[in-house]
Amino acid sequence: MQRMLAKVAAFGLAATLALAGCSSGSGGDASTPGQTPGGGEEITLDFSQWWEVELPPGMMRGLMDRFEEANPGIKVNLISNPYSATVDLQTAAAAAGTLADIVAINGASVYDLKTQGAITNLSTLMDDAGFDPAQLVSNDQIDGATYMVRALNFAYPMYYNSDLLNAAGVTELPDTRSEFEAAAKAVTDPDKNIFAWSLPINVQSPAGFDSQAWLWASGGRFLKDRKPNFQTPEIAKWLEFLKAQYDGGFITPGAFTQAEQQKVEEFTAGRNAMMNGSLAHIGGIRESNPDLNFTIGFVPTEDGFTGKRGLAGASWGMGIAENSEHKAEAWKLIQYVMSTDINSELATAATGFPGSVDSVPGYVDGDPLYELAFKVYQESEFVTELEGLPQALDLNRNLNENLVRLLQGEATVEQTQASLQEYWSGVLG
Amino acid sequence: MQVSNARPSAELAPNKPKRRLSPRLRGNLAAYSYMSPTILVMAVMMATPVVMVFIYSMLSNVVMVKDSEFVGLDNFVQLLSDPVFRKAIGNTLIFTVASVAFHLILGMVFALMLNSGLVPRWLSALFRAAFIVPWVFTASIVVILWQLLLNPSGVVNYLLRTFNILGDRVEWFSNPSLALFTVIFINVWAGYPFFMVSLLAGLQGIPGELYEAAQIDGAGPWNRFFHITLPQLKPIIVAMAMLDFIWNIQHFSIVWLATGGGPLNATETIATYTYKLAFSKHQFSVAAASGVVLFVVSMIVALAYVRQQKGRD
Repeated sequence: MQRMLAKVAAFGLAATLALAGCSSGSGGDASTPGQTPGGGEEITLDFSQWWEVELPPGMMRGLMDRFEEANPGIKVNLISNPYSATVDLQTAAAAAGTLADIVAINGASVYDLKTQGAITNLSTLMDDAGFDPAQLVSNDQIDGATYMVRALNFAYPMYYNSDLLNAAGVTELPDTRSEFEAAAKAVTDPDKNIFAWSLPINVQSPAGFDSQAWLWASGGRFLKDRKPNFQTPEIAKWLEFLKAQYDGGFITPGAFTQAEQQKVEEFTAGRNAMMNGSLAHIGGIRESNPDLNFTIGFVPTEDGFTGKRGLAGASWGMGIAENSEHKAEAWKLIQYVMSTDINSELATAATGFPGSVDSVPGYVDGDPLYELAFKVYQESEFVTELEGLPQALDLNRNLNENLVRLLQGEATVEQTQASLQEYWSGVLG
Repeated sequence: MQVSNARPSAELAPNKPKRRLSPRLRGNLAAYSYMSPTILVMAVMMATPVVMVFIYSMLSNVVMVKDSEFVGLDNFVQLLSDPVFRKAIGNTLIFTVASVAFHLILGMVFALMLNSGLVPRWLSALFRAAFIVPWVFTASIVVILWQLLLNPSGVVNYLLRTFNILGDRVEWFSNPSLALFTVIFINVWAGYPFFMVSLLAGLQGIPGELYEAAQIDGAGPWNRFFHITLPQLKPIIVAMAMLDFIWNIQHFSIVWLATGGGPLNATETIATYTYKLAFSKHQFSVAAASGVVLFVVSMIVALAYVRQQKGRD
């Protein structure tokens, strides 16, 4: 009987392994071939992204339908999830070799996916298709090759609540940190739940550039030649500024676990006078609180700074999976998204800046706020310092942890600089 | 006449019919063949991932590199030498023990109240529906709800300040010395209805004669509770506590959504620590080792649960 059971168990295990083998084997090819009405082979490209969730309903599908019409025999299957879920799924899929043909990525994930060998060299595909990289606003490269094409760039200027500032007697937008501090002092009124600004430095989803924007605006950077460079006077002054803002009680309480969305809600509800945030928030703020009187401006710089201001930015990029069996067709889709009209359309819907040099977002004309934002964008240096770094998310998380320690009073400015230098050096070398 | 005990060889007995399986063995084989789809599914869906995680925990930098090497217990050594992991173990134990204890106490209090007969039937039905509400919400709804209530500018702080209970607004999630208490409170709120429903079912199964006899003998409410109710509910309490321990020791969603393990690792649990290792630091091998530690602890309690259930049967 025991021998019989052993045989049954062995058979079961063998069947299990066989099944597991089958499943992993079939998972390697994400796209599905079929037949076109004309008899040719029809292929389906999987496009994993978070864009559809953030764009107006039907927008993304509409763009894909038009691509399919223009390219008979190619279908596009949109795999849509919120941003964080998309990133997590991509990490797992990259490990299993089941990444979708086209993946929406950004600077936070491109390096790690490239290191895993999960995304392909786009420079080769560009050459094969005769695509001129000069059509791209920025062509970031890792080890001399392109792995991500930026479809859109998102700028993070300063939002100002005009009514709160006027009521506090602040008639001009602050231009320097000193002016900002004076304005923050004037508007903050804890009894009325009004604070100058929010600084979300949570660790679960470090998004936005609420702390970094202040450094970058004044020309400061975390890195020098892609190596950590935290022990500089600029970084020390930046940390001292943040600490003074926190100790002064100008920052909305709950910063250490506050999320990006909560920050936007504080500003939208008229409880914050100032906010650093993506331009993409304009539409949402207007929709949620049509009466809010707000404007856009530069992030104040260090007193005496005369250089070109830095403006924090993020991107929506695209890459192609190494395991895709239809790389040429996948590139066709990327080229379509980067075409002048489509890229303009996408930028308009997402309130971003186009990744194609010839595209112009439709929102710029006629809306004074967007015109102002475009002016800020054009007069600033677009800074995406953390993009393309290995473990970019982890580095951001470490930055927030160190800021919490500093603001909580558990570390001095010098200790914070040393701690950041040590951890980032461990990751970046 | 000499009788040989030796069995005839196959050559000597070519016409002997094949040995038939005994009816019992045939019965067992039939049973196993019926069970084989389930066994197969369990092997694929449960055993394979577990085995893979054990293997990953002894390889170097798995997932991120194609040629991982066997490193023995190095990942476990690295894990145990990390002070954040040791803090996560402590937090996990506090979170788990406190959650189980308060789930049990609150569940028992509400179950006793609903079963007491002191509450009118219609009110009891209303309470039953109200008490079960937290259990119906998903973790994300629970966290959003409490984030709104416990926000420094939220309702709870407003009430505490209005009634002069507290002078300053309290940062329930952002204060490192309060954050763990806050997430435990939310987890207790979200989980006690399961205990309440199970204990209420148990209470309704206790024969009324036991209480009547005890009352005649002069036993008061406390005596009746400690000498009738608790012993009668003991199997349910033990089983529920063990299951709750297993669920809570690997709990992730509420802690992650509320604090992400912060601030300053004040709410870091083994689950959030493991998640960060895998999806933030991309150290999948060490994350697998952390998962193995959690698995072993859970299995010990699970085996105790199975033994308890067997003993009960």
